[in-house]
Amino acid sequence: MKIAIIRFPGTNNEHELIRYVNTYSKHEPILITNNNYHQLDNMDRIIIAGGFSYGDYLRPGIIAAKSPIGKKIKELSLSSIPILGICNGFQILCETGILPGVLTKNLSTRFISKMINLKVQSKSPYFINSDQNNTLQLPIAHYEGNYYCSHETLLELKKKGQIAFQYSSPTGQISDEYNPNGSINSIAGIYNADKTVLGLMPHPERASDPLLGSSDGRIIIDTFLGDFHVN
Amino acid sequence: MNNQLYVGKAKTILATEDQNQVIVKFDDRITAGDGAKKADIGGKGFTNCRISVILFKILEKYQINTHLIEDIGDIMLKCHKLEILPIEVICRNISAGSFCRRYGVEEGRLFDEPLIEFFLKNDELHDPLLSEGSIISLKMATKIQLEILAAIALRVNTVLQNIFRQLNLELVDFKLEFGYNQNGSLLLGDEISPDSMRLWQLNQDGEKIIFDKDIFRKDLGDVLSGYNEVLQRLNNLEQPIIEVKPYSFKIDVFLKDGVIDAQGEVIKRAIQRLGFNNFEEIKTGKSFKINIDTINSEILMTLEKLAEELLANPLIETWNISLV
Repeated sequence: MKIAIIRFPGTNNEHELIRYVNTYSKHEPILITNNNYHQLDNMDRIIIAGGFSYGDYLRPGIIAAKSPIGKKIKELSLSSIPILGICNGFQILCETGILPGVLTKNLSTRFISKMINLKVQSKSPYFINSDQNNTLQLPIAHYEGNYYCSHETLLELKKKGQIAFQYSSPTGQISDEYNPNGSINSIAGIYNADKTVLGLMPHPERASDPLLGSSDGRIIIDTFLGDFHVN
Repeated sequence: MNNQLYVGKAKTILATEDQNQVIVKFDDRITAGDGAKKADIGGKGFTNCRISVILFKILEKYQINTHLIEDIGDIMLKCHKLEILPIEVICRNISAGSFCRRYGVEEGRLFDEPLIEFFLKNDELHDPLLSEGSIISLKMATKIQLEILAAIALRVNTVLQNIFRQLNLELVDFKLEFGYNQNGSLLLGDEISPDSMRLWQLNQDGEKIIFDKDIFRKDLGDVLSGYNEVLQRLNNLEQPIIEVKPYSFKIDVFLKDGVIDAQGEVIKRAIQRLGFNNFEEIKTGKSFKINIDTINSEILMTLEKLAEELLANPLIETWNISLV
């Protein structure tokens, strides 16, 4: 498979992802930028890497969302090509309107970089489908990860099972105590209605080996790459 | 004539074969005091028509859209048919006329900045002054529409003031009328002549020579020779290059009420540490200044789209457009 890894000016997580795909899969990672984005038509998977696209000017993700790549991704999202947006990639997916809601400043007004626990709230064949993993441990690193949406949207997300991950205790309990950034309903990641698109604030690509503190990220990315098998 | 669409105090509007175009015919009638004082001055129509053409053409060079389509000579101009706004826009550089009567001040006071006033175009009511609030309450225009009218009038002022200074004349004040053509474009209408402005020549020795309708209003002499002098000087004008400021729109973006403003909360605590405790709430926001050369009919729609789709996220933010 061809795995598109999107780099905007200011993206800084593309190397981890390229290395990930080369190390843990037989697939071909292809770096996509403003210069070669027409190749997106021939991709099997798209990953929007984290970072600070366009310096986070205006609002995180907005300039990227309105760029030619952003428009192309929006078009492709309708054709059911699986798309994974990590951190800034999640912010971009929200600003394009592919995913509902928006990510605002952390309630603490601090940049937060730490390991957190997630409860798997809803599964998707493209992102997480194992019955064995109800909680994951992944790192977060963001200033604007406070997910917000209207009350109506939240009801809709719940009804359609679009809430993928919630911040939780190690055993999967949800409460404000475990919510690092003030996200509504402790939301850490959501799907589109078809569950072919996932946006999440935590970084699965930074949790690929026990040496890094956790290898739970592999459950998500290997599933996304079609390579995850329950041992 | 049966093709008369409208007979005004100093001009007659004639229909043409094209229903979107009219002929503006400049008459010799001159009136003052909302029509209370009247006279016919042979040649006045010609002079004012010629002055208006020259000034309209100059203004067009500075991206001020006027109703003039074609000068068909003598006392007639082919113009866009306009739905005229009932608001007269007055720009004043020096106190004179009704301003002095209204506020009891002497004529000739030089303002630091040009003053824009709005008046209701209604002779029966003697063209009363309109406050911005009453225009908005009466739904005659929105706040931003008024700001646009004022901004255009200020640009007209910059251009005309420069032009007349070349001719050794001081532009004291002037009146503009605006209207929309069939495409919805906002155009400067009516005329620009000594009937609608005050022009003084201020000599070194303090002598003031008047070249406008005040000659007629105040019986100061031969009004036509004053007007003709203005035309003659305009005919000999060497056009200067005038610097005009771009129109500067401002779009403010704020978080909606009910959305937690984390930065605002931190700033509020800092303010409290300074000893000010009675601030209920601090809201942070963003401000964008957008400079453009010309105002067309789509500008507001374009800016609204820009605000809605790019500058603000309508889910959590509100926006407001103004002209600075």
